[in-house]
Amino acid sequence: MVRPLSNAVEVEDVYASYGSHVALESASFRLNSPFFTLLLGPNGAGKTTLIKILVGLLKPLRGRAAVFGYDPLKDRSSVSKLVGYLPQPGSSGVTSYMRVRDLVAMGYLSTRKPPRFISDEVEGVISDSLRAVGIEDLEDRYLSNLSGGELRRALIAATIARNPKLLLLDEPLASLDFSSKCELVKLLLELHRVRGVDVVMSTHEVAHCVYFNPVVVLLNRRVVAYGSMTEVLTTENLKAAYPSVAEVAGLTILAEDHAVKR
Amino acid sequence: MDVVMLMSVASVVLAGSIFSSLGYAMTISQTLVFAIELLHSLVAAALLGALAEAATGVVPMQLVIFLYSMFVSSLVAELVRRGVPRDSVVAFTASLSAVIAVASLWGLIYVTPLGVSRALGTLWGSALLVTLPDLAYLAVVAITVVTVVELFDLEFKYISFDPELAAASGLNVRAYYYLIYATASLSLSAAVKVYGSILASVLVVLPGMAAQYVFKKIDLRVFLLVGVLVSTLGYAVSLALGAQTSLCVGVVGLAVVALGTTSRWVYDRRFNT
Repeated sequence: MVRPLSNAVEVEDVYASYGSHVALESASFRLNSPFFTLLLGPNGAGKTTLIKILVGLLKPLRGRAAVFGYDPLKDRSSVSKLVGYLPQPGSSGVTSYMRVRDLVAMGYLSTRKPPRFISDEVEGVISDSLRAVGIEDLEDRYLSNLSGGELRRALIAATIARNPKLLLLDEPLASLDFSSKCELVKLLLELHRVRGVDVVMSTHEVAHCVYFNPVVVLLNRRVVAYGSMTEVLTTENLKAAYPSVAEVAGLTILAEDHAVKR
Repeated sequence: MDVVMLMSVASVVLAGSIFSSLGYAMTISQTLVFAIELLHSLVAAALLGALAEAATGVVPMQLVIFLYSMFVSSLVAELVRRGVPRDSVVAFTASLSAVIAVASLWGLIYVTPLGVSRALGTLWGSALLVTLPDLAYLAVVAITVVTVVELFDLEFKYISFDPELAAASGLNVRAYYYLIYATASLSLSAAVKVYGSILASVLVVLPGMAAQYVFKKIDLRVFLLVGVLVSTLGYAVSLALGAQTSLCVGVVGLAVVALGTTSRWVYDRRFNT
């Protein structure tokens, strides 16, 4: 039975906790395709928790999450075919005996049944995916020998290899230099516009995305506001989401590098 | 060459292949330290197996080693998954295994006939005592282990790189870890009779060290080459000197790694590679 595709992402009254620490509290929002969405909020706001719930790695205490109408926990195989997931930098193995080509191959093959070998067809997918993210020359490099930015690109190549409808990216811009951040956002925007891939990306920074006015979900355990960036990033909303907001010379300054004119 | 000698050489080659294939699987899945942690369990499993075989006459030692190794691996995996610190779990299973080892040793020596020689046999093994059924079992296990490692090479690397990413991509990560544990338990159950339970862990680790530091290549063929080379060379030395087999294989293995690493270092410095 083929299910009709409903809202691409639905989060309804979701609660999550780690022991006594509450990570999400009655979080609710809906996203309809096409969208490029930023999950914005301070440390501990529940961004990673929310992404893990949407991928099916965590079970919410209460509430409902759905991706294209599928429950990420009950229908994990359906969700994994539709979604490409990029974990938070640093969560993947530092030492790895995997080459870039193996990673991309597994990105493509992991939704298929074993045995999984790199056939001519898979070779083609590897080349296309690496070309799309601009690292075709790194195909035979071990993952442990890549820079942070290169590894991020390799992981994105692995996620797009399966031709996903939705990318869930956990802080892809963290610990990259300024130009690498700009390049990565440009790449994601191109994937969104050319291939029609929806994007949900958690981040602490919006400067690189301001020019295309993405959808923003402002989070601090609960959803403070969501909508287009220009609508959501008001001083009032930022004060509600962030614990410390300084106001200097007519500008609202967040703890990091965000500034919003009053 | 008589039949006994032929069978012993075949068993040494097969045991070398099994240990090196297992070493490869554990290297790429980054579970190599687990092989060392299993040492206590393996000694306990081998002594318990020998006791069960001697006392019942029908339960093969290999079956007990396989089941006990699987039990310990599963216990560690499940407790760690439920949030118990890994150090505590390994300390607990090592203590449990030490008690079982001592109890089995006592049972072997005081309850069964020829207990002391049986006990020593499980600790250091003997290629010359390998029977035809043992050899057949070794061959089946060698083929199985090499096949599993070849078939799931990409998956083992992927789950070790990031288990959460692998799970989110649709892989059953838990099942793959159990496959590694089953492969390890099967390998150890087959090869303990040839090299004993004390040296088994060393033989899993050595080919990996040689492959990484001497050949600088993580490839199953390199592991197999080093494993079989160390195994047969060690056996030849033991025959020439009339010394204990596992001791000679261990010494030869360490010497190959030390000499190989030094030669590689000198070569790299001289040619700036």
